[in-house]
Amino acid sequence: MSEPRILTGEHLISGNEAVAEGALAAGLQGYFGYPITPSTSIMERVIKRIQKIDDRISFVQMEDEIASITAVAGCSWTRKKAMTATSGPGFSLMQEGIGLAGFTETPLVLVNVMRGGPSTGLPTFPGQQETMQAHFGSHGDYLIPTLVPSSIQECFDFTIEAFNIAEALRTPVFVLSDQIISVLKERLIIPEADEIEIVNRASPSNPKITFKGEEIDVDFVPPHNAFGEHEKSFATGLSHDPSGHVDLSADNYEQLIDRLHNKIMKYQHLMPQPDLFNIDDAEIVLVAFGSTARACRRAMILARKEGLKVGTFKINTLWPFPKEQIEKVEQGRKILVVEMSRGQLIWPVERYVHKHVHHLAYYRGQIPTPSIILDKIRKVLGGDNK
Amino acid sequence: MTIDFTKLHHNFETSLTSKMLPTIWCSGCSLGSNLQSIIRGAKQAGYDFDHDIVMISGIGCTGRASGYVNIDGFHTTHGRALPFATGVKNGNPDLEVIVFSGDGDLFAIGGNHFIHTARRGTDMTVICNNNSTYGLTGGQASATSFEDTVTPTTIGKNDKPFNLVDLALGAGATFVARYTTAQYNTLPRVIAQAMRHDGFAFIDLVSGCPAIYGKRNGYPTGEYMIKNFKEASVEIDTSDPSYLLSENTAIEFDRKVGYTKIPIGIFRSSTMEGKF
Amino acid sequence: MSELNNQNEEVISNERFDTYPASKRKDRLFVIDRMRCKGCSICVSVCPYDALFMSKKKSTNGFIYPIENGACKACKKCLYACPDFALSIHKVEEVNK
Repeated sequence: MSEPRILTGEHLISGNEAVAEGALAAGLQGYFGYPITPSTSIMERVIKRIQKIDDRISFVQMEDEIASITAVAGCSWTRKKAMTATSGPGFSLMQEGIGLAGFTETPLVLVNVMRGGPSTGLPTFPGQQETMQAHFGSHGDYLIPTLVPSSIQECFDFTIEAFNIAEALRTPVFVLSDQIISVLKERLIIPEADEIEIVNRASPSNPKITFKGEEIDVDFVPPHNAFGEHEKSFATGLSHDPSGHVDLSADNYEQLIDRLHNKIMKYQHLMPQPDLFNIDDAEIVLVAFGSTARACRRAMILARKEGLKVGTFKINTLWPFPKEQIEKVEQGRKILVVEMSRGQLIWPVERYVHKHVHHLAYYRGQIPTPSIILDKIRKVLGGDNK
Repeated sequence: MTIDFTKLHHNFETSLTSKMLPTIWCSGCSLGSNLQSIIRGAKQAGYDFDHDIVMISGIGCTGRASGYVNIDGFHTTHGRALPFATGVKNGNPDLEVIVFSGDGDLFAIGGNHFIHTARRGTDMTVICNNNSTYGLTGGQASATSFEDTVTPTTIGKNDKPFNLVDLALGAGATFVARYTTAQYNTLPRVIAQAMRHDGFAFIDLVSGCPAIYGKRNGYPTGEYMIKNFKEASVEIDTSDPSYLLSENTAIEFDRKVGYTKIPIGIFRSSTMEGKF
Repeated sequence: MSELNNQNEEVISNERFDTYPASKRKDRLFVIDRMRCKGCSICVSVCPYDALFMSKKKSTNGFIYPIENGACKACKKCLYACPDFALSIHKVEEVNK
């Protein structure tokens, strides 16, 4: 009994299941993974579903996470949409493959369901401690778009967005979920197939593609043949010229590093933009992403009932950081960063907000509840600068 | 006679990436003729060299091979050629996937990937350029360096080397062969056979690094190395079942004269239902 | 040995290639690419006809390179053994202007 790829309709499912459905809706053709809590149910959902879908979707359970990400990259080079999912320790192991995929402009999607770290840390409890690792985890200069869902609907939508960005810009894309969202169940609406925008990567014979109505500039994202397309297709993790062959010269390397950075920055506006709630009259703005952004919104509602003028800046694309938007929001307002880490999200915020930034760092393997956040809001508005 | 010098390209020039040549490899290195044997093997196996084949390589001297041939290829990170190849083969099962990499890449940093890829039986041809050293980083001891040899990382004796044939047989590879660089006519035939094999095919291609490892350990030049390979190679006798015993498949080496015994031949060629 | 170490007088060269007509198969041309040769001498050792010896002079790349002495029979053994894609055998009719 076969099932459609896209399960149009209303569902009550978990965040991890929604990620799997998003991937299938985006056109997933290959999944390579290794079990790790709390991401495993993404893999299990994919396997369950692909056995009932008529399209050929390959799956291999790899021997470790390094192999998983590398196999995903290999699959992608046959012009297939491929992904993997992991959690903290696996994300650390994957850093090597992430650098390779970024440098060789390999489209792929990596979902990291964050748990508390470091090391084995808190396998079944949430964390947001891969905020900086998502940006700086692998060695070298690179920038990988990182989407941060905070609802089940966003788990679905952002996974599709992630595949589209990956294909349009020839880049790996991260989706950073966390343990809370991974198991949280709420309503998911899957639209009709024809209402979902699907982007497929360009090729030298078909170089013009559009993403959200905008044509992708081939000078920034040059199309490349995949394997088996009867044109020599070569890539290397060494510094390379536009044909993919080794070129270690200084000028070439600088141009390459610049282009890889610039292609992401040029199309930053096509990635999910931050959601702003009650900013206009706010005295204080909560800055958060993922599950803590949900707690912040609730805290904001409770605070408003007390007459406190609180707004929320919910980040949807963590990297590249929404610099311009936060610069607008900070003017005349206090900023309070709420995160499940000892201090990571606060780094980019401090960089772009040119004043003291208040911080609620909650690193107990638990989400900061709205009442904890509300307490902090009261203190900050009461003049406590700690 | 007037010669048109523009036509004097190498006989396999169409299979090479001319602009990348000469190679970075040292004088006398096995790698160039091994690569040529792969080109000849692929042609013998009937593959359209430009269309059907992908060559994946890892890091090290051998890693650069995929950039010198005019076919689809990928130069992965250190040790990861096999998982990348697994992704490629799963993504497009119509492609013939060759993994050409060194002993350090496939059996030290990538050892885990090797046993698991062999276990899965993914249809690919894995050729290990086994020169018993890390050539590109200056000749340090590798997982196949012989015990009594000297390298910059040897204190007293090296650890016991892997017997790659034994390892591949144990991991479940369905085609296992060993030859040396010097079997210029047999090697392409065996590579062709391995490529046609439906399943995980492995060739332990005993190669030399005369410029670094050999200079320290009994075969100082390419010329000597080739003679050494020819003299030390012993064709296995498959009529005697004991040929599969570990001690009968092991390579023997003497620091003063180089290789003293290299059992060569096809150790296993079982048909099994391939993964694809 | 001295006879073996005399260059075949029928050599035709340019800045990159040395070409020699094969002695027993005049329709074949043996070609040495001096830009690729790294002077390893493997070709000399595998040649069954002792048709090659190494130059005293170095190429512009700084390596010695093989010279043919007139005994080449175009058997291709050296071609297959050359690790640097520097040797080739061509049909004269295909490369004659």
